[in-house]
Amino acid sequence: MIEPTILQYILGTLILSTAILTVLGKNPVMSAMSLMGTLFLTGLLYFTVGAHFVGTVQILIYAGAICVLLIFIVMLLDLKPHNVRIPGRKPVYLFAGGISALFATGLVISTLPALGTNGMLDSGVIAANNLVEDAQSAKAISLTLLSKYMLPFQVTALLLLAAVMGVVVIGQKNKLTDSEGKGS
Amino acid sequence: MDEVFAIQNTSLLRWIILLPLIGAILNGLVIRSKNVRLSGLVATGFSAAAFFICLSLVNTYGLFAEDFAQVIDPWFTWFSVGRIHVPFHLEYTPLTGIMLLVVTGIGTLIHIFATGYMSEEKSPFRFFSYLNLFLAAMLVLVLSSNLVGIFLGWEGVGLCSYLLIGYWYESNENTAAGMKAFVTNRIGDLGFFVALFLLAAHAGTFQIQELITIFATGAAPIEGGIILAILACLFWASTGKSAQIPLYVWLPDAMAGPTPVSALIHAATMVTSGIFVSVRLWPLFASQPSILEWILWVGMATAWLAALIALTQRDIKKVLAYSTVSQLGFMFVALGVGAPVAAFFHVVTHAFFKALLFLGAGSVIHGMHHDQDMFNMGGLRKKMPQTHATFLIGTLAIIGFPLTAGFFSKDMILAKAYEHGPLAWGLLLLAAVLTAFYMLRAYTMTFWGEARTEHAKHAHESSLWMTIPLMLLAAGSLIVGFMETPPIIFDIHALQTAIESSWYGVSGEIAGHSGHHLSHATEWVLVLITSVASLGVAYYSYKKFLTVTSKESAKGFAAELSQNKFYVDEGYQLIIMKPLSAVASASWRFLDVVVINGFLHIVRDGMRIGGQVLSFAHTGNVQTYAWYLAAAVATALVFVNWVI
Amino acid sequence: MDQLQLLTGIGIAIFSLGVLGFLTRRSGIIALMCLELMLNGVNLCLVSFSRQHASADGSALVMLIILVAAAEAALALALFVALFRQNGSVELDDYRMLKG
Repeated sequence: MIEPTILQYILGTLILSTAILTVLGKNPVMSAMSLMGTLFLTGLLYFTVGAHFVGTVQILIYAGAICVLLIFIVMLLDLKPHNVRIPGRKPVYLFAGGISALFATGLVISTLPALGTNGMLDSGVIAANNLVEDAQSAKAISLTLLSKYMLPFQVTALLLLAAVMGVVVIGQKNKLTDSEGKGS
Repeated sequence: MDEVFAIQNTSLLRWIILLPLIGAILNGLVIRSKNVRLSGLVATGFSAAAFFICLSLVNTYGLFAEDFAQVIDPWFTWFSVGRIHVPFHLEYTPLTGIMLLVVTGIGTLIHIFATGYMSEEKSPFRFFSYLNLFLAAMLVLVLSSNLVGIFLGWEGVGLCSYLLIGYWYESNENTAAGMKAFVTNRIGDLGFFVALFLLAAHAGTFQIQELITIFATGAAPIEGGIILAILACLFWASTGKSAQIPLYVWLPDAMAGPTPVSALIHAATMVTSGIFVSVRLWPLFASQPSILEWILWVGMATAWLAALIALTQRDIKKVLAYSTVSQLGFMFVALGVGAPVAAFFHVVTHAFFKALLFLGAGSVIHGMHHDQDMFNMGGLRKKMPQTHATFLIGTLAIIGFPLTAGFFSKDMILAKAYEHGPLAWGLLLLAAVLTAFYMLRAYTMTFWGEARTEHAKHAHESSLWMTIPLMLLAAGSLIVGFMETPPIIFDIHALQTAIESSWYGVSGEIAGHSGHHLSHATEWVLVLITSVASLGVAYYSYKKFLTVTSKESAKGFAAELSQNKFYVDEGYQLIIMKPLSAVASASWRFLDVVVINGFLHIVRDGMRIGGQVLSFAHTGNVQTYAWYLAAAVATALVFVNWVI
Repeated sequence: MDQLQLLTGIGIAIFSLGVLGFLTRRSGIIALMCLELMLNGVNLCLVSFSRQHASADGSALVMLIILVAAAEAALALALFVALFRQNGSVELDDYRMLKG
């Protein structure tokens, strides 16, 4: 049973706030920026628990590539800020909130028995054995990835190839539509 | 009795059936020629081939011997289900041998006649194909060794009868007549079906030999009531096929078909199948005397009714048709008084002279350019001498002129009727007298007197194709009678020997009956009374109709009844057809339109409304679908964690 | 409160917020962002489980998820660009061609 550090608490709070900002932001650019913040902070959180490799990848790819692309497109399309439907004003928001709460509850209950001191492996034992650093090192991850998860790995590679081709094709300028604005 | 009946196997019998069948297929499906002579000759060839095989069979195995070798052709097993085993075996007994000769012989002659008669037919291959098919089916009926095979032939001839009656299908009248024949026959066949089912349930066999040797002699336990029921059902089937009351109504209408058809099917062969089967199964009938009384009186009533109707008919073919019904009644009377030999004797002689009469009528009709009304004929004896001579011989045979074939068979029936009781004899005698009257009326109006219309004036004799068969049949009508003569004249009993040895050693005596024979004196008296009465009435009829003009026809209430066939057809329409069609129409209107359609409409509307309702879920908006997804997953999570 | 419980809790919270946003926001790009949030929440939980069981499986899965998320985000954005060119709007309410 390892107590969370202060850093983790702070990071947690920040993550939640940025997430709320993403969801409720009026301006699409603000939503995108706070998304980037969330992802970055999550990466930091990974570092605090010793998952260095995953954290690196998260910051590099997730925060650094995907979000940038997102902001890129937001600016390309020049989306205007619009009215966010205020929670509580319309019943649909209550419903959405309710469903989210159900999700949360369900998930928590599902994972509850596995957490805490009832779990076979609790963090105290892990920390004592120092297995954590080994288990989440790049070496361990890559070994697992290339042996046990070889097929998904290769298929994901194909997927990326297909995605690249797909993006090129979809993003092409159509002769019938101009880049200046509305299509025919 | 095994030593008497040495069983011999031969595969010759199947060719008797196969040859006409091949002829039918060749003519109908392969050659399909429009040339009348060609199709006619092909058909006649196959029919004649079958006749020669029958002749050779008779030559090899004999016909009139007291102990003959039972000849069987074990062809194939038709079907075998549970304890019911039905083989398709053919059998030759003296009885079937005689019938074979009659069917194939007269059949061949009629084929030859038809080749001449149908000379203006446009697609004759159809006709001759059907004719051969009929022959094949009839031969199946004659040769089969069990009742299921007989039933196959029974239905087959019914089918061919329908096909041939409605042969000139362009006219609605002809097709209606064909339908009437088929449906009425079908109603009779129901009896045959029920008989077969009863046999399957109680006897377990359909083989005629087994039925006679085991059940008629009482060797196996089977209730008398069941046998009586079976025989009653078979008799019902015979009223359909052999045109007795109440199912005779199809036969007069069947005259719509070509005349060779009427000669072959409705005079010589098909209509006698009922009697043939009954004679074949005679020991069974003999063991149940109660049904014999019934058969006797139904036959008598039919003989009278038909004779009364024949008195006033204008169409020559209709006269002959009702005459056939009446003569069939005579044959059933013979069965009823317990004289199967007399009945079958009359079958054979009737085949000859009735076919002769029909073919002669055909020749007349051909010469009169298809005018069949006798009131329009007259004086044809000078224009058509051979037809006249042969028709005269046929008429003499049917009225029982001494020493013709009809004389011997009719007198034998009358003698046996007298043995049964004077009432039956008296009524039958009167019916014979009526026969003499209407036959002479027909003969005189056609061939004597002055020609009453142009057609009659310009009639000419028919070709050799038609006259040669007429002459051969006339010869037969004179000779055939000598196979069975009464004790006072030549005392020949060849036919009796043949038939009695066809029952596998079982006697044909009626249970509880002692046959008493007539003294010679009584026999002479009977013969004299019959001859005098018939000939006297014949002469009177001849004189009366010598001077008839074309406008005359009988008047009066009795004549009206007779001319309109006693309104039997109209009665059937009223009592049976109208209620049936009302029921059918009502059930259509209710069951089909309301119930079934209603159910289908409900299904259809339900589907439509359901689809419309469900399509509200398709908003086309991605977020809506995401809602559905999220709701489902959330419910599942909660369900799994809290409820289970 | 254990470290791992905290991480898992945060992961669940992010996931739920993502669901909330995805079901609610009108604009397509923002819905896409919420989708990324959901995936991120899952990743956090997976890392926490990986640490708990001292096995690299969870982390390997996280790698794969990040990869797939990248590909999917790129494609989705390309689609939005093409749709914007065609119709001038990325709002999800405007695309209802499959209605009925």
